[in-house]
Amino acid sequence: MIRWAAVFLASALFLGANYTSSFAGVDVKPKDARVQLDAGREVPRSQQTIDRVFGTKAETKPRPRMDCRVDPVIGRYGCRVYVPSDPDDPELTEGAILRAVRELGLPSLEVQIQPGTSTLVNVPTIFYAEPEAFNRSVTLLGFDVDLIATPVRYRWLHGDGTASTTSKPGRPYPSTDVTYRYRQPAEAVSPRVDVTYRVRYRVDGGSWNTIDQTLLASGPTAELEVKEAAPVLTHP
Amino acid sequence: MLRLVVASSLLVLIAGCTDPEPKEPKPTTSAAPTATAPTMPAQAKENTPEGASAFVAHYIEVFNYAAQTGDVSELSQLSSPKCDGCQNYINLYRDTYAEGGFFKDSDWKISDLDVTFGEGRVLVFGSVSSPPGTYAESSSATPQPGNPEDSDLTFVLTMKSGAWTLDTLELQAES
Repeated sequence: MIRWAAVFLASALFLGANYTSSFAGVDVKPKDARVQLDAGREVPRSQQTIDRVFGTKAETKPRPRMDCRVDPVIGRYGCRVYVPSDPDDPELTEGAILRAVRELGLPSLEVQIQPGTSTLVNVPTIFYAEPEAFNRSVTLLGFDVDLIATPVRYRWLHGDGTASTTSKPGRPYPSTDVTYRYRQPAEAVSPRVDVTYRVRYRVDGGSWNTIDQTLLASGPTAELEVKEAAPVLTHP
Repeated sequence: MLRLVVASSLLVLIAGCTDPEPKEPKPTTSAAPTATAPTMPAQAKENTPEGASAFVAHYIEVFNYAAQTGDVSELSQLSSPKCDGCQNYINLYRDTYAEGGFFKDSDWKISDLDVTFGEGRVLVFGSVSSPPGTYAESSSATPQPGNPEDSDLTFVLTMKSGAWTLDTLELQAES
């Protein structure tokens, strides 16, 4: 027992403070691998370990790694080469691409209003936006990534607490694709348009992929006065 | 005469189908305390990734045999003297049994292996698991339950004079 306690103590010393605490309260047994194997030399399952074992010099390309399994019927092992996902190699994820797009900044659109800076209650006010093409090529983690962001939804916030959503950006007068009738007069409402973009990308000139998650770009607010149209009798 | 031949052939056929003679059980590699050390399969001598894998699997069987019996001669044969991990277990099994103790029902099982093959040297990553089993430190000690094993291990094998030897037995760092 004294011998095992000594081995455990030695292991605990190798393990350092972090691991020692994880042993606290755990009933350690003599056969436990964490007691018997020199934990001070723990090595990760990685390319560095492979380099340490084989040395890196004169290595023109990485040695293939193999997945070896026993055939339960004949009791013989068979191996096949596989490409491990190396945690040391940065992986280009769609999350990383979306982050890059956010950093580049998707265009926010300024809401266009007709008739202008003032409109009338109960009269259709025309809204439209002028979407911009977003095509960029960036280098991410050593990959050449082409990006295209396309507006897929426009959310029109009228400034009076109401909103509507369209898939088209609307058009100026005489088109009436996107209109809204204000019900109440107001000295100043602040309408705006928020655009939802869908992002497509390709890596190193490969095929295009679409990212499920969309990105929203809120537009700046405009100033609009909503006047009441009072009928006035005039001489012809 | 012809009928007789047919009848006897049928008998032979029937006898063949219902042969009551017990079949020799497939040789199992897990050793009972009185058993001899597991025999090395032919594949475990091959200087190939498959051979190295078979050697690691065989090593684990010999390891289990040593845990069950205290007979560490074969385990010592397969382990390099400079393999600290191997020697720790060899000492543990030898000394425990010398004092009348034992390890029971805690055989290691090895998973599929991740093998990097080099000339005369092979790196193998594998995971071992085992039930807790029971053990006693000596003949006077009360038997007690062990811990279940679930560890990722690194094996480094070298080929010396046409046979594999385990040079390194280490824990893998937690990623």
